Amino acid sequence: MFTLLLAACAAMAVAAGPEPAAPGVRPPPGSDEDELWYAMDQAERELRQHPLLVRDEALNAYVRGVACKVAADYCQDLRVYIVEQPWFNASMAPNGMMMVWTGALLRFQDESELALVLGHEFAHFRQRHSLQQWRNTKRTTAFLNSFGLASWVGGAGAAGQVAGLLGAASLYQHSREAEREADRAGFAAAVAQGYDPMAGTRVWQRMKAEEDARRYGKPIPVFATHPRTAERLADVRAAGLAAAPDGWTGDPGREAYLAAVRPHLGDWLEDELGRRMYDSSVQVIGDLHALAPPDLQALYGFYLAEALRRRNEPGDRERAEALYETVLGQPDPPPGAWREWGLVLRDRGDRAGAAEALRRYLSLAPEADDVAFIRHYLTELESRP
Amino acid sequence: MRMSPLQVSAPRRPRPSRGWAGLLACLLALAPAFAAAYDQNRIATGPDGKPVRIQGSVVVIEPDLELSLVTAGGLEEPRRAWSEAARQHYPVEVARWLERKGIRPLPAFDLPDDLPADSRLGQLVRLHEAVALSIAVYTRKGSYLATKGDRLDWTLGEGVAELREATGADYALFSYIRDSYTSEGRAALRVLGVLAGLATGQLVDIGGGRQVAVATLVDLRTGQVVWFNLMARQTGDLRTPQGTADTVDELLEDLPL
Amino acid sequence: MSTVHRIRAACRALPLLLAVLLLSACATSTGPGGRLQPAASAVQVNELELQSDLDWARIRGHKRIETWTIDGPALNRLVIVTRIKPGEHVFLQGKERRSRPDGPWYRTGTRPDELRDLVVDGLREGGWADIETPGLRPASFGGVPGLRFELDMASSSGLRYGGMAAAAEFEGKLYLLLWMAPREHYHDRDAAAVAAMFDRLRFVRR
Repeated sequence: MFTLLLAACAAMAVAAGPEPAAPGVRPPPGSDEDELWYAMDQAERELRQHPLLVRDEALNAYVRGVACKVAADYCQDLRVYIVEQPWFNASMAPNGMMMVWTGALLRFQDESELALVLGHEFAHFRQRHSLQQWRNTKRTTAFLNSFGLASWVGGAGAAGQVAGLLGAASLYQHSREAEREADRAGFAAAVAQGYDPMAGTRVWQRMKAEEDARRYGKPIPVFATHPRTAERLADVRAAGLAAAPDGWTGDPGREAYLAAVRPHLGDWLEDELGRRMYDSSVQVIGDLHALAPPDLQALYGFYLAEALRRRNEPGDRERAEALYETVLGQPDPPPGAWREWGLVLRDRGDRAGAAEALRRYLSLAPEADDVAFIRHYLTELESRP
Repeated sequence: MRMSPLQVSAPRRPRPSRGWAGLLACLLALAPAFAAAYDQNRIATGPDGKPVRIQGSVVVIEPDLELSLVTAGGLEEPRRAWSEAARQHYPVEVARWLERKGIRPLPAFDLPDDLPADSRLGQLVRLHEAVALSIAVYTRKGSYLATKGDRLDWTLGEGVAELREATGADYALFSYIRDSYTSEGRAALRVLGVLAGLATGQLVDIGGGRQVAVATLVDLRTGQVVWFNLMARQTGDLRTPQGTADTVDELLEDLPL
Repeated sequence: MSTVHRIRAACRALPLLLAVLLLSACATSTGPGGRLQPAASAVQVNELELQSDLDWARIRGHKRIETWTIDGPALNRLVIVTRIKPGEHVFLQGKERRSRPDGPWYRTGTRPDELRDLVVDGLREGGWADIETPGLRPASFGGVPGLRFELDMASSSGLRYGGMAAAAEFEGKLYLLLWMAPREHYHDRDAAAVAAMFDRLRFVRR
């Protein structure tokens, strides 16, 4: 009952803007909305060709399926794209193009969390927030640039470039009111489909922890115009508790989610480390590690160790070394753990142990790109008495 | 922050910094006194040391063309319809022009919307973009490459064989046309628009009827770029067949026939 | 839109003419088309000595970073980065600071595979995508130990490039040699000659 009320409220909210879109309807030719769609269509064409687009069929089918479920009647209007960028971001352009970054897929822990964020983006689309922005700014160059039509969006380095390049209205292009409205409407859409009302609380809690872990510098653009994460967390927690005051006993979709993303986690964790934001990585991967099922403990443990080793603050090396050792005793350790452990033993003077570990690495990963160096180390280790 | 020489070559938007954007800014600062229209027409030299003359058939590759007018008063002109119209008119007018000059035009060659980037043709089209940009920058007076001097000496390489097979043509005409600075599409064209725009003494924001066009003629037997032109002007209307014919006249005027 | 974005949007709307006025000098200490570096000559770039069988146009951007090209940097690009100090960006794009610890900063004692990672992350920052580094191997540059690897990547427009990289630490600083060219025609045309350049790369004390 409450969810229905929420949905109704969301629909009535911010009435000053354009009417919500009806499913399956394209804007009338010649209208300003049509021109906006046209610009978006061009950007979408470029996106389809972009080298960072993730083309894996199974993953795309899964994410599309969740988007479709949340969008309900609007399923036919959506096209979903997954982009390899290690930041938490998702967006939806006014023409129905939805984009999710692999950084977001790394951070979600179950299908309900994915559904909540996709619901938020879908709500922007349905409420035509982008059209409102478009009209407000009267199609100035600056606005077109905000859709990344041949513009350079700085701030998050390559991520900013991609956000700009791909021409989709990014998370940070809407007003705070629009963001709040999308939070409410997105929540309603996800819950209406049977997803866990507390999913949003979990996501924003971890995002807040990630933000807080970063002790320096300007806020990352993706967070810039959002209602501050703390506020957002409070709102979604209240909504979650209200939707299920006696607790919720459904299935948040953890197994389904992990089954879909498991083959990609190694790549996404590598990309995460490539951001060189080690404080955030330690936080994010630490969270993933803490809640990991037995078969993923070793994977997350290894990458947590890598983040610590690379950050290299006081105490990090010791924590990393302990983790490598632990990981090697768990099911399915990544081959890299053998390499790192071998190098640790080498530094400790245990030449025999180091050689054995490095040889183990080579046997598990004969095609690794650093084998020439590992062989070189082995030669050194085994040459002197 | 300095722009790195390790940046991907065609920045989406020039910025006041070193590297590509700085280079352009420099070129623009060195630009000669402007005229109403700007042309940077170049012809390659044949093996006999003389300027190449075109002999054979020409295929018009589907133009990369966008019309987007953002007028000062914020008047909303429908751009989709214009672009679509211009895409129809352009190959027709080029074919007419070629016929009048005694050159056999072949049916226009369409590039499929979803041409995979990794296909040979997809890579060739992208290489062409990089080549056209390089020619635009380095055949400008004052910024000749030390390795080339004032020669037009660029090639697309062996990959053109595929195009030759697909079309049977001796030459391919590639075209990029933009009518507004705020247009969508390939990044390189923004850079070219700036180049031409400032050469005519105007501000960067092309609006209200300005055109920038780049065309190359590639010999499909050798891969060599035998002719290049970068054109910018303040008049021109690609929405009509007559307007398109006008643009084509100006753009192809110095094709070495 | 946040303040950050408003400022950025305003900057982007600045006419380039104004930007030209803001520039203190032309981008390069040579002309934009570079100076000719003929083949078959040994040339010193700070502590590096190179020998080439090809003619290059040498575009010097900075005391410690040079770009050489034959047909234009989008079609072939040799980048020479020298004297990178600990704490500096791998491509000299700034320095590490307490307020900005995220970035590919060179540090003393970096492992060879991590030096490779520095180059890759630097390239990614520059907009390159899908970067692979086959053939990572130890190498010697006139007795100075370092590493080499091949490059395989795509520009943001999807044009595929191939290339080579060499890196070595010398007297506490990092030195890099990178070459990239589109796979379509340009890479294969010069790969052998450029590989010979990399083979002959060595350090000389100034």
